[in-house]
Amino acid sequence: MRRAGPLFANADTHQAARNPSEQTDARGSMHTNTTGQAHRLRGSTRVYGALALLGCAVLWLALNIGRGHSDDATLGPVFVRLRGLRVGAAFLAGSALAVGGVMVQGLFRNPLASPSVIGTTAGASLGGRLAILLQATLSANALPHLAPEMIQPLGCLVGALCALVLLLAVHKRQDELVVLLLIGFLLSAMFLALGGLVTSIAQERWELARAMIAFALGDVSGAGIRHLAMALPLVLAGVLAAFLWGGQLDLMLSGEDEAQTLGIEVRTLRLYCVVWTGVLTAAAVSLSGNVGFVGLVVPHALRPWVGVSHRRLVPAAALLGGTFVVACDLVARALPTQSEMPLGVVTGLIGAPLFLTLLLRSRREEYDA
Amino acid sequence: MPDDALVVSKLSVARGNRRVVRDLDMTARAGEVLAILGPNGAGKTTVLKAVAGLLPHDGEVLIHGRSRATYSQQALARALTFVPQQSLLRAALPAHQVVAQGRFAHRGSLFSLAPADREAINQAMATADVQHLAHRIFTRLSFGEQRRVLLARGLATGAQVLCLDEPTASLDIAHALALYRLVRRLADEGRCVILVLHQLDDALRHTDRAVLLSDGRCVSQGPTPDVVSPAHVESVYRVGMRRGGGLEFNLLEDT
Repeated sequence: MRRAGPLFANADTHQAARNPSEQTDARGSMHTNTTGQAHRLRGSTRVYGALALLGCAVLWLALNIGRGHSDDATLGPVFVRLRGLRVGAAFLAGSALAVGGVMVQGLFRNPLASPSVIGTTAGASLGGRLAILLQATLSANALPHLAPEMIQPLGCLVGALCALVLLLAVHKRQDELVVLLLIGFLLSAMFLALGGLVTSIAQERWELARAMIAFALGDVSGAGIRHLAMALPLVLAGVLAAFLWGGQLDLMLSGEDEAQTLGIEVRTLRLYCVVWTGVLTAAAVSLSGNVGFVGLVVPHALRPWVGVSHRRLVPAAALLGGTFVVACDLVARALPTQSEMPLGVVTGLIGAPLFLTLLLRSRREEYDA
Repeated sequence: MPDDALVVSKLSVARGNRRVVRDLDMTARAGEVLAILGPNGAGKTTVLKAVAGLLPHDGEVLIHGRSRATYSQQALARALTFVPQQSLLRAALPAHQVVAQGRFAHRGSLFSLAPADREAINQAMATADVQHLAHRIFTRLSFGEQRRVLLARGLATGAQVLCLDEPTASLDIAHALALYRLVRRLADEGRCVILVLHQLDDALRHTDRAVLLSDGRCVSQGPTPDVVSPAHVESVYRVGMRRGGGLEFNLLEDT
C-alpha cells in the first residue's frame, strides 16, 4: 500500500524516489524535466480519474440508499428528487470547504489552517442563527418578496460578509499575515460567543432550539432548489478563482518575502484569497450549516497523490471534498438510528481519525527520511 | 562611463522606534561586484531587503534610472532579484520546480512554461551547477545545495541586478570559490551583483567596490581595497588588521 508523505509532501516526492534514473540523467535537464512532467501529468490524470469514479459511485449510492423506497412508482421520483437536492447541497458544500481549505493552507503556509480560521465560517453561522431567530419572530408575510426557506441562507451570506468586512477593515490597519490569522481567530471567538447567545435565547421555544441545534451540527436535509441555485454560482466562482490564483499560491509556499521578490503582488493575492475563501465558506454554511474537518483533512489527504501544486490540488479537492461530504451524509442517513445523525457529527467522527492517521504517517515518514 | 544599475539615495529604515539604516547613499554599476560589509547588526541585510522593496523605508531607489516605485511587481522581479540566505520553503518540491518559480515574472500565473522558459531554467541550473539536483526534493538537500538552487532561481528571473545575502555562508570552500567565479562571470556579462559579506578577505579578493556600514550608517564606500583599510576595520570592527599571511585557495581546474 502506498504510504502518505509529509503534510506538505507530494506526489513529486514519490516520483523522484521512483525514478532514480532521472536523477542521474538530469544533466540533460530539458528532456528529463519534460519527462518528469509527463509522469506527473499521467499520475494526476489517474488520480482525477479515480476521484471521478469514486465520486460517481458515492453519488449513485447516495441517490439510491436512504429511508423510503425509490422503486415505488409514485413516491420513487419524489425520493430521488429530494435525495438529489440533498446530495447536490452536500457535494457543493464539501467542494467549497475543501477548496477553501486549499486556499488558506497555501496562504498561511500552515497545514493546520482551515477555512474557519479567517472567521467567516463563524460569521456565516451567526448570520444563519440570527436569520432563524428572525424568521421565527416575524409574521408570515413580513418579508413578502423573500421565500421563507431563503431567509436562513441569506442570513449566512450576510453574516459572512460582515465578518469579511470587519476582518479586512482591521487588516488594513495592520497588514502582517500573522495578524490576519489572529484577527480571524478573534473574530471566530467573538462570533461563536454571539452565536451561543442567540442559541441560548432560542432555548425558550422548542422548535426554534431544535432548528438552531440542527443548523449548528450541520444538516443538508432541508436543501431546496433555491438554495442550490444561490450557492452554485458562488461555489463555481470560488473554485475558479482558487484555480486561477493557484500558480501564485505555489510561490507563496516560499513565504511572502520570497514570493514578492519573484513577482507576486502579495497584498493583492492575500486579499483575493481571503475574499474568495469567505465566499466559499459562506456558500457552504448556507447549504449545510456547520460542517467541520472537511477543509482541514481533504487537502492533506490529496497532497501525497496530486502534489503541492495548487493548480492540481484545487480540482481534486473540489471532487474529493464533495464526495466526502456526500458519503458522510449517506452514512448519516443509512445508519439505523432512530433519528438521522447530524452531518457535522459524522464528518467530525470520520475526519478526526483520518487526520490523525495522516499526521502519524507523515511524522513517521519524516523520521524515516 | 559605467551604467549605474542601482542608485540608492537617502535610504533610511526604521524597525519600531529604532532607525537601523540612516541616510544611506549607494551606487552599484552594471558589470561590477559590490560588497556590503559591516559587523553583525550593522544593517547589511536590511539595506538589501529595503532595496528589493521588502521593507518599508524612506529615500529613493532607482533601478536602471527608473524609480522602483514605477515598476510593477513582475517588472521589478525581472529587473532585480534578491536571493535570501535561507528559504522558508518547506513544501516537498523538486529542485527544478523551485528554480522554475523564477520564471513567474515572465509568464504570469495563467500560463504554463514556454520553451524559452525551460531553456532559461536549464541555463540557470547549469550556471549554478545544480542540474544533478534537478529531481531531488529541495527540503532534503544540504544547506549549501539549497543555497545554489536558490541562486539558480534568482538567475532564472533574468534580472540584471542580483542581490545575494551572504551567498557563501554554509558553502564548502570549493563551492564558495565556484560561486565567486560565477559572480565574476555574471558581472563580466554586464550584470550588477551586490553581495552581503562577512569575510573581508573574500571581499578584497572577489569584489570591485564595497560599502562599509556601521550601526546603519555608511562609514566608507569605494574600491574595495580602499574601504577595507586598517583604519576603517579598526574603527568599525574594533580589531587590528595586517595584510599578508593566511591560506590561499584556488579551484584545481584553474591550476
